[in-house]
Amino acid sequence: MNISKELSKGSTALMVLSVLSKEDLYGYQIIRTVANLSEDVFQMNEGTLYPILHSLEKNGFLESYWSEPTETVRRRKYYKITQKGLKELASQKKEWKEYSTAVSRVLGGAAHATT
Amino acid sequence: MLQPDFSDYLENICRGIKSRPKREEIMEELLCHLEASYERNLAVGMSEDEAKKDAIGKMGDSETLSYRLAAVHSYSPLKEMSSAFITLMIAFVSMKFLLTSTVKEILFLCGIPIMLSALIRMRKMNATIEKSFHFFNFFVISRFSLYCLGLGRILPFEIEGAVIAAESILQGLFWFFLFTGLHRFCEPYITEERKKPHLYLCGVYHLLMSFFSGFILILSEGEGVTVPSFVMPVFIAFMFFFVIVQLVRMRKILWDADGEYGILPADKKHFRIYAGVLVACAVTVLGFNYLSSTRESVKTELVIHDVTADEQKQADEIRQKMLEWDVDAQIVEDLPDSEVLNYKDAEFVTWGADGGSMGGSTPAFGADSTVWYYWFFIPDKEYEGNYDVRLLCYIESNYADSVKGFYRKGFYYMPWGNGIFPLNLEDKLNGSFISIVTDENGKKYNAEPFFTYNLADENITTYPKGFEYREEKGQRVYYATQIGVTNFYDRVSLCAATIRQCWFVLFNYKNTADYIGTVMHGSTITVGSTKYHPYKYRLHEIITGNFDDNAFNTDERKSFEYDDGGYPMS
Repeated sequence: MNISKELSKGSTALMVLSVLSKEDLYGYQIIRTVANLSEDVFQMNEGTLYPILHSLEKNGFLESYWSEPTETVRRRKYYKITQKGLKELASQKKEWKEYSTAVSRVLGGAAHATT
Repeated sequence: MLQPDFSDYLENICRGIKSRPKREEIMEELLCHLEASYERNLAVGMSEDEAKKDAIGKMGDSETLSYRLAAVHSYSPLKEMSSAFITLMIAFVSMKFLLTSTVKEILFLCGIPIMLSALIRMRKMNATIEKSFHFFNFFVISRFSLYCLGLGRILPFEIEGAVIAAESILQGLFWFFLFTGLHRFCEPYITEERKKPHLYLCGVYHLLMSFFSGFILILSEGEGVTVPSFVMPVFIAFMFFFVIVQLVRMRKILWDADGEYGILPADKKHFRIYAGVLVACAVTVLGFNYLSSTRESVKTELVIHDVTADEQKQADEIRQKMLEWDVDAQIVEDLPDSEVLNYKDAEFVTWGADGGSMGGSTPAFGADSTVWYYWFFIPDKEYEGNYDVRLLCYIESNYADSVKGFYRKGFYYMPWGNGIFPLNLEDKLNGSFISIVTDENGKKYNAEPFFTYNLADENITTYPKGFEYREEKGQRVYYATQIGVTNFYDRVSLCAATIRQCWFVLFNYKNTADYIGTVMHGSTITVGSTKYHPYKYRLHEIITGNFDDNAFNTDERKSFEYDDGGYPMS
């Protein structure tokens, strides 16, 4: 199912912070993790991920580090959530919960009104 | 596994990131992603081409991604400073521009908004530059207050003098904090490979000069001090170029500090705007200059008529009006034959030479003396083939014993070659120029005439310095070929030229067509002008016809010598 861009736009940063709060990941892994967790509902535009990652890093919510290269794999840039990032995640989660609850109420209320 | 070549695609994406180290890092990160995506596509059975296309397609349009990444990575203090550098340079040059007065003032005024925009961009760099931003604002407010309220219009002269001194100090503080802030900003990036910029020295210089000139103004009660004429231009030119060199050094250091720098599209737009504003102002100013200079060929042929009692009364009214302006004017009434002429339909054409200290931090160094004259000319009917120009009256004020003076103090007298000229020569053919000799305390100065000649004698053997004559229709026509003092300070020589010019228009030799002509036109008095002297006066255009540029044959222009042939003072 393709979710409209408008709906998914605001939640991308939240989802990135959320997956990184569990473990350190590199960019491609983040894309795959979000897709898997959402059962392919969120198929993040891969290009949009990196500006978001870099912006989150610039704001201090994430840190990055490079892994050691191996014989077959080049080095990768991993992202790790910071304490500030965890606080931000908590705040955004709360906000999202309030938002989604309110939307659900409206939709549920509208449904009642039409019946 | 052999990976495809994604380099073109990645370079497109990362071209908006100007820092080389950052650009390379991001390219590597994205390449890692593309390779992982490519391998996954191969694993699900795509061909190599399909896998590559799909990997790129999922990454997205390179243009959009480039823009987004640039937006995240574009800001850096060094970059901001580098791009503000050009703005700063333009503003500095504009505000320090030293040309003829009108051009200089306009460029100074252009420099203010440009400097303001540079400071707005730079103020976040450090606290010192932030301070300079505030002092700049104070300075601009004081400068414009002076424009509007000063120059003898509203503010009493004493207060105006204090404001000018304060403005000088504010300006000095602004430059000091600006250069000091720039010095502090680039200091961490100074390497041995690059020459160290002496920005701190630039700041200290400006501060010292401004304080010094401000105190001089105050202590001398506006008179200033005397320095040899060559000192200030040499000194100012040296400092001007010294500062430019230090700013260029600073830019080179900043350029090296963070890899290659270019100018982002947003900055390019700003530069275009600034450049456009400057070009527009320059074109406007130069256009006005050109338009006025193309009228140099206007020749005035003047005939002076007798004065009637009514005209005398009218002239008195004008004098009274001028006195009401609260200026320290002394009316010259006790000179022989100082009659005035009809001022019917007269217009107020000028109230003196430009001499203000507009810009710069050295208003006290004596260059800014001003002579104030009030000339009333009226265009009149044609008289015997010539255009009749009547000088109504002029009031001239005397002051002090030197050519230096604080212009806002009132009217000043240029004691060389100056004089009140007899306006009615009907029975006074001996045109003797009498110097104005009375100062504000009533002290008389040497009234040695600048020169004397006798118009009654057609074979004039001695005629005014800087004049030639030609024979025309059996008569002798005089015209000026020399202005006078050629000095770096246009105002000084301007005044002298003004004096020399205004007198010779007044002579009428027995009401014949023999006259001394001058060239006047709408906004410029030009008397055998040199390239230095496109004087700008707000002169009413009194001549509308009979244009003949023969009076100014360029071959006959003399070279200009500094005329310090003695102040007629006791």
